[in-house]
Amino acid sequence: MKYKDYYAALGVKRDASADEIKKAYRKLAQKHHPDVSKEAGAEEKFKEIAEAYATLKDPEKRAAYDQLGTGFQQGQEFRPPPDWAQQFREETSSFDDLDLGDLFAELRGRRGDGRARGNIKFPGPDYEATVHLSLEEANRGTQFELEIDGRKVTARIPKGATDGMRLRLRGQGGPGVNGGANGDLYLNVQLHPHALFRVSGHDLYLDLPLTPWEAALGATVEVPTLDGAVNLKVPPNTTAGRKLRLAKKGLAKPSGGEGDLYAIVQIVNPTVLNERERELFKELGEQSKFDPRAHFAKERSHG
Amino acid sequence: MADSHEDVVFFEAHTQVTLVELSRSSGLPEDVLHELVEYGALVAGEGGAISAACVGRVREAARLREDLELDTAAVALVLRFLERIEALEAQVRHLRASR
Repeated sequence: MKYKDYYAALGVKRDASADEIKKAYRKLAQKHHPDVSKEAGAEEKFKEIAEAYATLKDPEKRAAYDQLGTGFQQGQEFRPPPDWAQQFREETSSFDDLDLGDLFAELRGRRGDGRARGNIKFPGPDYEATVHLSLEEANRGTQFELEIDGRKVTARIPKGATDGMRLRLRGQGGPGVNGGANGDLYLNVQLHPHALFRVSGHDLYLDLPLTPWEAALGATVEVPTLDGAVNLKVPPNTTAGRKLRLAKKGLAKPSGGEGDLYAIVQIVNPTVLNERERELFKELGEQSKFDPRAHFAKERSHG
Repeated sequence: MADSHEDVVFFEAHTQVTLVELSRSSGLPEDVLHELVEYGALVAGEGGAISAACVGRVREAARLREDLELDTAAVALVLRFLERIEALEAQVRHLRASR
């Protein structure tokens, strides 16, 4: 069995009071809790702290831990003193493959509770994981394998998920004990960014570049969707930023139906003009009375 | 892929859970959940049903309660902040998508 220095994990002295131990734990837990900290390795760090506190906050477990002796280094192979097991533990079998944290978690000291554990049904633990899906996978449903706590779990997500959505897969969590029900698997869905489509809820957004003349005169243009290209009618006098809605071309919703797809108009000028094109623009400029900055003058006269 | 999976639940705003179900999925005792309703941190509709959109937040708040030894008033505060963060994240997603 490997030794773990629980006092060092909490950064307290071996003679620290219960109150000092509690304060040290709370301070470290707030910093490293995986729901709070975004640092890499926060989860492992928090587990270390929580394991140390679980033993040191309980006076009987702390006494048992103290009697293991001092002078061991963190991670060093060691064996508890010969009489230790008789005093604190029912089974005196080998300590070789044991984890110190598991040993103390099952340790009941002289309280004697938990002995009937052998026959009682215990539900398995719930698992929680974040999964990253492509838009296409979310839209049509998908199946994949996850590894949680060294156990392979097959997760099947029906169509309807979207960014930030959470779902529960019943019975896909940890196995139950003595015939207890399996735990559930909770998933947080995150979508990979897509080259063309942006997501809000079940609606999709797409930038739609148009030439100035398509925007002015109207046009029918081909637009990609998740189920293949469709024709979209752009009305005449379409301005930049206008959202053209393609109903039901967004993501599938879990309870049926689909979101919408919005094509956001961008007006794009050619970067290089040939002689004839330049002439046509020049002629248009001379003929047109259109002033896109008319509101500047209005604002100035108010100021 | 078939659409109906009784064993899969999407936690959407319009689906509802009972306090008993919420207690089972979060590990929070029912009396604590009642107190959270009283604090206004959870909104219970007719018959005590609560929007399933809160399940993820309640589970997270339950973990923090356990690990940081929070009292119910602090859990209520955590829930309100988590709800605000989720709303802001949804707003950021919408603004980024529809720009």
